[in-house]
Amino acid sequence: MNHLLEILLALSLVFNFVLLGSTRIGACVIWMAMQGALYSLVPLIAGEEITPRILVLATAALAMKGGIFPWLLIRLRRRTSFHFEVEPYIGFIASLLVGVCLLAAAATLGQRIHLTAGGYNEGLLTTAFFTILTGLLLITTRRKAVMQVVGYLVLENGIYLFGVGTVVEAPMLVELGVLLDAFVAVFVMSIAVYNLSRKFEVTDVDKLAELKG
Amino acid sequence: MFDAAILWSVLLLPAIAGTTAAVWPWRRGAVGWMVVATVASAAMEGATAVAVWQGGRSITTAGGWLFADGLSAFHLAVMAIVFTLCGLYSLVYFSPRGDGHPLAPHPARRFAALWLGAQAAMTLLLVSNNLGLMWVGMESTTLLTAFLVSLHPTKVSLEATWKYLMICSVGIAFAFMGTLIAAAAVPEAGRAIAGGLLWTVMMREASHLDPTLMRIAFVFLAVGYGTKAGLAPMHNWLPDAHSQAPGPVSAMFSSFMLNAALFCILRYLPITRAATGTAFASHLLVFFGVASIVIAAAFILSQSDAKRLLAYCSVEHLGIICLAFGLGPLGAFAGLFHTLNHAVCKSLAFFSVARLGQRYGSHDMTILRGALRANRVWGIGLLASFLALIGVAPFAILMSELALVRAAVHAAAWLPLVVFLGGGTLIFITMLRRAIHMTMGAVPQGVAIAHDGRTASLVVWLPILLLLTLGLWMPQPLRTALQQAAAVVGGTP
Repeated sequence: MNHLLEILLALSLVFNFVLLGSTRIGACVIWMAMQGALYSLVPLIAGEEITPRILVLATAALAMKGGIFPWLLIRLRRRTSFHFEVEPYIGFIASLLVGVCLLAAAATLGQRIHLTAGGYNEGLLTTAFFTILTGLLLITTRRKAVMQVVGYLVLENGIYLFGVGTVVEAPMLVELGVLLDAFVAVFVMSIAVYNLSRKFEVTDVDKLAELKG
Repeated sequence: MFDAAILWSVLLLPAIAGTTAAVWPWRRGAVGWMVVATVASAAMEGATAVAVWQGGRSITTAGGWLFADGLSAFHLAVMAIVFTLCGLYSLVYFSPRGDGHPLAPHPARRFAALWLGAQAAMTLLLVSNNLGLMWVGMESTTLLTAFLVSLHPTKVSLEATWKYLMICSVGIAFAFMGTLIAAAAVPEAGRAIAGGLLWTVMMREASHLDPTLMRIAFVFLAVGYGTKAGLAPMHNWLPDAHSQAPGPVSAMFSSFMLNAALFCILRYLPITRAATGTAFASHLLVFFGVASIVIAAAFILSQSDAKRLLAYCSVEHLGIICLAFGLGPLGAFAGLFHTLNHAVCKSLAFFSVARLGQRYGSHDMTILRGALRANRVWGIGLLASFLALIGVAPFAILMSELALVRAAVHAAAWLPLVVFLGGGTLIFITMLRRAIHMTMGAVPQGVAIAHDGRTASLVVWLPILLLLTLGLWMPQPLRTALQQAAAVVGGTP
């Protein structure tokens, strides 16, 4: 495991905690994007040699995760919400404490799962699991619809890192398809949030509670 | 050459037609185009299925990435039936005459494009041999159908769209984790060939896969794809989306989209069984099946909205199908037969309830009374489909449920059998009462008595005849097709 990768993973752990503690939606989008950008660099650092295939994928991932996603979300937040606060169901301190527990769980999982794949390491798996769990926590505990999309993208970041760490050779077409799907997902979610806020002035998901039983 | 032609055309036909619909230049005719293209694509799907059955082998192209075996052929056939019926029904539902909900030019174009796109995505997942590509197909289905739910944008329909998008996206993300872990379970030596995550290669190498990883992978896959299949306890999005979507969309969701998600789990079932060498995967399916039946029964009891009732009924039936697949070879046969019967029957049920809902202006079962008088054809459709759904003789659902009971007895799965019979009885009583209330009696004031045209009669009588025929007699070709598909699920194609 090289040092650059270690630093990168440590940095992204910090990002997860920052995401859980941030009070502003705009800041969360930026942190999410920076985390995504970091992860898209992992294949370049972790691999022994840089093939054109890795280069293309890393560039595509960087452009999506570091550029297009945050741009879409910032634009969306600007158009839809008069409030810039995250408004969680559970407090920020509580979020951070749950975060610590999730990190412990992720570390246990990372040690337990023995992947036969070469080139993986415990640190990478732990970080990936922690990022996935952080994403789920953000989706379930944040009131603003935009923040749920941010949570979904954090989850996607985690899965991307997990994929980089485990599967050595998924075909390029599939990987690009996955990236494209994530892009369309964000796009579709943005339209849904936009419609909700424009037509019905709803930006909070807890106001979406008419359908029951 | 023949293989390539047929597989590419079944895939590209709806995709190209959908793109055409997206840029449809005229103000009118988008829905008409969608019906023509849907039926044409369905014919192509049927032809693909027949090609597989006739040849008695799977057909392959694109370097092994695309293929159709017995299991895909059977699902393609079911899909062809469902999409043909739903396409024809769209003509009635969106008709500008009577009390239909005609679509303005822009929404009509969007509906046609998204509908055909969804058809293409579902075809892709059915004919992809690459498990990654199959995932892409499933995910695309969610994204393409999201705005079909809020085709008539209201606050509640957007609420349903949002829940559908969020819950299913997270679910599908889990399925992707599962796909990655399954890929990691391939031993180092097999990587070079299995690098493409090809199903056929993984089947061949199944006994060399890492059992622990495969077990973890299957949990992720069952939860992930199970979310999309509406299995309890991940079913929360389903009643909302099904009740808010326009009639043809609810029918398509319930009759085929859920089964398409289950199809993805079925692809992994024989691999996991061979890799782990235990009944672990089957037990998990039995668990989800039983949970779905119990939860559906509980919610059906207290339901007042007819479309939500049908949505929970879908949770029940998907639970029954899932349970059947967990019961070994006999169960696989029963589950596949039930898939066909449920698809035909649930289409008819949603057609009738949605059309009557347009006439009554509500899906509330206290308002929806006297349907047989208000509109005879749809009243008959409603009564027949409800009776068939709860398993009244001689409709075909009773036959597949009996086959399930036989499989359960054979597998000595007593507890699931008791839950299935108990839940089934509760649902039988509730839904029978509801069906009688909705169809008999006087028509409420303010509801006009009217008749729909020939298309309406066609989409009502065709499913009824099919269900009656299959209930009384199973043609030999169908039996062979079911056996071929069940053999794939059982791991002995």
